[in-house]
Amino acid sequence: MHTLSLPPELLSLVYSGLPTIEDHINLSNTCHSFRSACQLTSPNAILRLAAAQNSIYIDPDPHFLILCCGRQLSSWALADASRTLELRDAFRDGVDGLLALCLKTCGLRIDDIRRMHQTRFRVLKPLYAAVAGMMPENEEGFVFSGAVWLAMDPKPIALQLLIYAELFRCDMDAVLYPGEGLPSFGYELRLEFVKYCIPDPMCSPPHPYLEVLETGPYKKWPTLWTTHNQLALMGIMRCPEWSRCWKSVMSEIGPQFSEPSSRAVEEGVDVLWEFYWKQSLWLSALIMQGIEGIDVMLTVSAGRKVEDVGNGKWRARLTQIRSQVEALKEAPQTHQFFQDGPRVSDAPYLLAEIRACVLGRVQ
Amino acid sequence: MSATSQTIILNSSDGVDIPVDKEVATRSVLIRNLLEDLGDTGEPIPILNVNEAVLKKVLEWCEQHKKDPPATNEDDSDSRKKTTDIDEWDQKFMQVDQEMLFEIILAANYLDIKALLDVGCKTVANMIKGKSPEEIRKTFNIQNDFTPDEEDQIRRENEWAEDR
Repeated sequence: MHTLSLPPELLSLVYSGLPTIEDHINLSNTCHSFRSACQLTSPNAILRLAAAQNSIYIDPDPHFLILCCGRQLSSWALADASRTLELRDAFRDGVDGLLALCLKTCGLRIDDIRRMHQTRFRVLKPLYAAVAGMMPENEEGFVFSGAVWLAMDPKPIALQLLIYAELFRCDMDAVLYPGEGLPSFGYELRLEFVKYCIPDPMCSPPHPYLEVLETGPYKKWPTLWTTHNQLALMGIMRCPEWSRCWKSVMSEIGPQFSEPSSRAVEEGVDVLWEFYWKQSLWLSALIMQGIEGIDVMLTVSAGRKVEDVGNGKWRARLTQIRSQVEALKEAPQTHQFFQDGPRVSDAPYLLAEIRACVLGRVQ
Repeated sequence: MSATSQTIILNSSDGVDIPVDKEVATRSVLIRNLLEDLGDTGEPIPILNVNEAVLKKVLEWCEQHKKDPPATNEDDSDSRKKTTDIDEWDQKFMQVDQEMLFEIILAANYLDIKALLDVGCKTVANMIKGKSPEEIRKTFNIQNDFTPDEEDQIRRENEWAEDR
């Protein structure tokens, strides 16, 4: 009697019982029989193995794995209202709650992990470097000290933006293709994500006008964490270098829509959305392409062409998106929290949503 | 054996009759279904794929766990994947040679005793934990049947896992 006398379905149970993805790989590298049996391991078991791994493969933890599952989770939650509520409840437990929901509902194949690893080197590491360079280095325009910025890790901050894009790209598609009746989550759910999965002391309860619960990241506030994630993302998205990078992509695809003056930029996001909504929507639609969108942005910023990403597929896709923006007759509907208060739109626009969360405590 | 217990007889694949408390034997879903389908005829129940030594070992586990709550579907789908923890009694029970270990796993699968199958697979998983492919081969006496080209391909595929 020998290990390999076990039938494949029992070998796959052994695989499922392994504590980490590294053990899974080592076993599959022993011989043909185990290599075949590893194909029977369920994607959910592989995801659990990856989550059980120490942070070597999934850095930053848990953001990287959530990013890997983002689109799956979004599709799962769009399927019915009870799932959408489950997603909202997961948001309220912060990124740990979000990972727990991924472990319950999603799965990964080894090929997915391999692909994401390639993405880490091609896209994520350059993004971390770019984001680190865009983080504000002084107090200008902000209410907190430079020391706080210096303590911040660009990895989770960059991935918060990408997870947002992967989860809510459906909302952008629903705006861009209004006649197709595409399912979407809506701005209220996006705000729940921003509040709890991009946590920030500036958004902590009691909030002046939003409902922010003492759950997830705010449970142990103010003793355990001080990271200004929302302010960091806001600073990055207001950084001239960020705009320059995206404008270079836009220029590759077609002429700019009317551009805001520097005064309009200084007056803030509401003005931009009201008077320059096509340009703002076009920018946000690019950002909402998630990992591939960032890949295009980094590629073009490095002086190469859009065609270098996805064998030309992305030029066609971005051209289509720009045409959809151009064809829209009216700006997406906006929602205001109180008179003269911040506005958010039906279209995902992370800068506006973050501003809605921090306004009253910071401009 | 309590006053209310009922004894049934299992007949192992090597032809040995083994009397056992019904409550213990019905930890096996296969035996429970057989008893429900055939009724209690008093005749030995043939256990075609399990020999005396392995069957007695399996029944020893069933005796220890006869009061355990039945496994739920959720346990079946999830808990196996969540942990490699094994309780102390089960760890000692599984301290057997590899041949017996794999026989127990096969028997647990045949007799449909999910909790025992779970313990068996976790025991094997724990023997693999933290070992390199070569160490796993040594532990289980596995022949490396990859060609050099295949090994090259595997190395390329796993570059991501080696990159720290």
